[in-house]
Amino acid sequence: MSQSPEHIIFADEWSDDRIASVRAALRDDPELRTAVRRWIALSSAVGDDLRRDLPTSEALVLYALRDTPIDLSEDESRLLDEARRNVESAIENHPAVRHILDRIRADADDFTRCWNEAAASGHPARVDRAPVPSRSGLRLISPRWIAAAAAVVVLAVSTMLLFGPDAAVETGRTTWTADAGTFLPVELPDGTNLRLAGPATLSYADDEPRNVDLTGSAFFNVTPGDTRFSITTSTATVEVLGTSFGVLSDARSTEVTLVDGSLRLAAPDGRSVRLEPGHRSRVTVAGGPDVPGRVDLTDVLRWTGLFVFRDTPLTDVVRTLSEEYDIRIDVSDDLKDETLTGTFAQEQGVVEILRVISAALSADLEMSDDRTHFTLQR
Amino acid sequence: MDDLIPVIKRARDGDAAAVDQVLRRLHPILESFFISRIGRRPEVSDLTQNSLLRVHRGIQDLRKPGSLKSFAMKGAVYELQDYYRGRYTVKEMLYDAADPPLHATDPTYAGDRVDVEKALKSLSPKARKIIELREYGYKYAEIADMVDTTEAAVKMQVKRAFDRMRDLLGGLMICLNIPW
Repeated sequence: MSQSPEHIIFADEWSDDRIASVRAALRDDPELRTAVRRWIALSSAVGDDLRRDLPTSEALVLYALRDTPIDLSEDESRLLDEARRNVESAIENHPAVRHILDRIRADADDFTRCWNEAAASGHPARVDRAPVPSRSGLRLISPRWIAAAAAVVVLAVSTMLLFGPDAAVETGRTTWTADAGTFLPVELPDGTNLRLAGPATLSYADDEPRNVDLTGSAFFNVTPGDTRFSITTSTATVEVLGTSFGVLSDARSTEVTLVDGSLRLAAPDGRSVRLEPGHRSRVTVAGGPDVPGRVDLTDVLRWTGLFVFRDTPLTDVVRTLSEEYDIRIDVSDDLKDETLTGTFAQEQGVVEILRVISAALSADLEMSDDRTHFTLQR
Repeated sequence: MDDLIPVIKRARDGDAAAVDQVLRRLHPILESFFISRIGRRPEVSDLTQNSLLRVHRGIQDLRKPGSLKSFAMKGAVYELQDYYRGRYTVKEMLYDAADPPLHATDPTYAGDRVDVEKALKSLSPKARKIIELREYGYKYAEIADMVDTTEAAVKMQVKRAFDRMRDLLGGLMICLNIPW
């Protein structure tokens, strides 16, 4: 398929393959690079000019809706008054602003439509839910199950861990420490589960268990809550509502890989990125965060001591386990198209992991006497 | 939704169960709204949760129970605006700290500032409007809807602006075959 610079400029969706191809083309062709760079510089200048003159989203929305019958708080009234002149000046200097305001009003009208539909029907509005992947796949473990599994892991290791010798409690503050080369599962008061990969330390004020400080690395499974969950390292801040992700940090950088849900990774200077599941980004003392890139979750999160599978083909699951445990696993033909979603701790051992997988697949598990050869079949 | 008024009053007074009931009634409305505006995208879940969080934080300050609709609507529209403004631009999609083909230290970068000033002046009002909307965070299909034209017409304006910039600033363009 032949491409031109316009195809780069017109792209609305950027897959990882597309990004890689375009970067390669830009590297190889100086004239293409110059043209695209100049266009980007031009459009960025237009955008910077606009953004300089526009107020916050809240102020813009309040201005757009100022003539509609909505109640404003005192703060909102003050914000609107302060922003009014700026917005009116922006309207004069930027042809796009009127359309943005019209669009905001259209957004508000659409909300009213959704609200009225719900009121008229007497029950919540019909929801065309965001699509779930339609491939034949198996979700082995729901978030609740993961929490339960993590609790089982904690119990299997030591019931004393929750309040035991690894938790240092000073007045009003709790600290967990994992030694180098060890994994420490922790359950926080709000139900969030995490796994410290030592050497690592996690601490929080007892009255704010959803604001934690992390030195080192950990895998988090955050319970959805009323407040955001935030993790602060020496180089970055991570904010989530409820999600699973890994944080690798040292004195110079923080790297975050997102498994489920969504989060925002911010550098100390305020620049931030939003991650999507399956993506990773990094903040260093030199700058960042990087534009998130898609990664192989199973491979990238091995340091957590977990196998993280998300819509992973069974053949890839089997390959991972075979390599990790130095065993052979055969899979019958009728299972080869299956995919799996689930999280296992490496210390569970391959037999237990395969038993869980076989039960979920309604398959039989056979193993040799020396437990080096396994077969999954229906 | 009048049946919700007593529940909202209790929620405003701090009744946790009432708050939960209000949020559950709002959830599908918000989800339906965001799907309607941005399509069936994974971000819908995040936007819905953020909007519910706004309601949760502000419900005790609601002056009138009947204001819940406008309160929820404002929060949802704020979140939508943040979403548009947070969308990646081409510059951000192509940027790579480890491998910066577009980095400012590229030896051919010098002189771009002057070029940009020249090119800005050459933009027609229509083209500038479209580029502003694009840089704000809207997609071409959304821009077409906003300016009441077709996506093809919008892209034609952009192409003309690009060609004008290219002619003005010089430099040869080569059509490439980039295999996907």
